[in-house]
Amino acid sequence: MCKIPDEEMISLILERSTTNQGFRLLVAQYQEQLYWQIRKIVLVHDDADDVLQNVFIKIFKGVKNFKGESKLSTWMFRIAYNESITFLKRKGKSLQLSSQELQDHLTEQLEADVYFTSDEIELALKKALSELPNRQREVFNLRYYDDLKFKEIAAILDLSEGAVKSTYHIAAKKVEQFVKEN
Amino acid sequence: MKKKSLHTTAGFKVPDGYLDQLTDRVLQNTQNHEVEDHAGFKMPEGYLNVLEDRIMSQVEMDTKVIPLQTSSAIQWFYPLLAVAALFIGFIAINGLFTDNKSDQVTFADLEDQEISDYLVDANFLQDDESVALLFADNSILSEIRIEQNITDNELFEYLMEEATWNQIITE
Repeated sequence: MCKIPDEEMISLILERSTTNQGFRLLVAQYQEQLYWQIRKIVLVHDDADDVLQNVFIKIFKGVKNFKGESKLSTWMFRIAYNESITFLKRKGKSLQLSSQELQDHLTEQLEADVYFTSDEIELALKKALSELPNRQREVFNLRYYDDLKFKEIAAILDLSEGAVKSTYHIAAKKVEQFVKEN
Repeated sequence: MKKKSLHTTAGFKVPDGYLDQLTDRVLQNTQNHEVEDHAGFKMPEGYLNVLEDRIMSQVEMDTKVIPLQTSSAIQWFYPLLAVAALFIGFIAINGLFTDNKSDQVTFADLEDQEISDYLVDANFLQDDESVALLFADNSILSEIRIEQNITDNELFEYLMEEATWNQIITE
């Protein structure tokens, strides 16, 4: 599928008669990227599906006020990130688990998840990531897996570029150490 | 053919059957690479095929405006309801924001002349019922005992001597 420019989609959405058509294009174009971004945070497919739908509803409601100060994708990733973190907080609360306990619980579940590869290296990496504080884990995910630039990560997480670089560096060192020790 | 010959003459060789399996191996590697890109996560087969429609129906449901009533049969009723609502609102506002006590009219507020005018206009004293009402709390009639025959002249002279007109009317 050929990529449609963001501006074109936004124009269609803003025009009352073509709102749905424009939004459908936006969904088609970004659904997969957003799904994977969310999935790496919430880990479970069903949870990612729930969060993704909420994210698109928020995007639909908010896109009319999108001022173009950042890239559309960055704006949407930020919504997805915030929704995912909110979801995890709610889930931890309902299961009466702390943030760290929830990460351990989710990582344990991954071993039996049919929608997770049985690759031992990937599982070891997930265990290493579960040991990281939330912010370090998210920076690592966005940089290592999504291959985003530090500048983009900074925009999504509302951090300075320097803070993102140093956070990634610390996270990568910790992951490396964890994998070596285990 | 010429190209193959060139490779052979350059001294390069490939293991037996390597080229037959190459396509499958390349595809396998591509798929593995795709899995790595998603950090080991997989999604259910066909998930993305239906996702777009599901999201669109969610969005439409979430933003749908539900009409109050579309039946044309009772549409004529809405203007009446609107008028009734306005009327009730007007009454309610007047009731809420006006000082009831200051607007209440008591008998004491009426001028004597107004009462007199009313009685004349209404022919108040023209029937027995009105007279009975006027003397309802008055004991003067029941206290009169006639013990002997009294002529009209005797009665007139008595009243002129013993009572004033004012007493006769008010007692």
